[in-house]
Amino acid sequence: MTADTLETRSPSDVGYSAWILHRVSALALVVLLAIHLGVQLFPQYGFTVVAEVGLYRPLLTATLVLVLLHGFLGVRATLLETSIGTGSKRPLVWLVGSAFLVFLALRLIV
Amino acid sequence: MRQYIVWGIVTCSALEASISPKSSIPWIQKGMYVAMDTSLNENRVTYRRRVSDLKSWLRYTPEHVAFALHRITGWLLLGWVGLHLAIPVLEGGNVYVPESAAMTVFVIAVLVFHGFNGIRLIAAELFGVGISQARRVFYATLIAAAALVIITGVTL
Repeated sequence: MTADTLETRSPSDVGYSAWILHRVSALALVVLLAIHLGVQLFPQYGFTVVAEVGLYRPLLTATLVLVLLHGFLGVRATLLETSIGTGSKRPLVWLVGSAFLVFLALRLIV
Repeated sequence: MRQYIVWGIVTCSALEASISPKSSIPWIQKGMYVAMDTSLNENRVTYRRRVSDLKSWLRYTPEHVAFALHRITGWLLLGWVGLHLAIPVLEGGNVYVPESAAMTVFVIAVLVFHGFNGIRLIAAELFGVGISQARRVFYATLIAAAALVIITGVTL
């Protein structure tokens, strides 16, 4: 197959939901991590109000979930960019995803 | 070819910002691009770069640097997640918090660059913002990130 005849993927085809999730989680993390850093590092600027109204804990859990989701999708994207064969990529992606899921469960339980 | 450009922009605008519509497929053959196979199907390659082709690194542009830095900072942040959240769990603790301000500022610097560059990528992918001025937008991203890090470091 020559480069000119290479097939390209379509947005409605495969990998689109992962792509969207990666971007949506990124945008959400901009806000959530700003709150997290504000509460932890700059309490003198009024960020503690988030904790006072009881929102900080649930937001922290959401941050953890989205950080791990975004991280997993980032590792997945990097893996897919490599020239490792498809036969190896698929189990690797599953392995990484499972590891992230176990870690999330551990963090939520402990 | 148009599909390649469109999908190039969609999949990684940090790289594709340097692609002009006049470009042709040969730079794929010259090893300019990383293999991109989001479908897990080797027949569906969007673009390719042979990283092992060291000569191709000489053709690196700011957009390529942005691409590489986004990956590097992503991996550094993943390492930080491990240090901040994973290792303490294994040791029976909760979270690791750096004691030195320098470490804190470094983590924030990595995070802020990754975030700003990510926003630049999303703006380029979704709205085509800054694609024609990719280098300037990337430099602006660097300056904005540096400014925010300095402000954070000073007020910390």
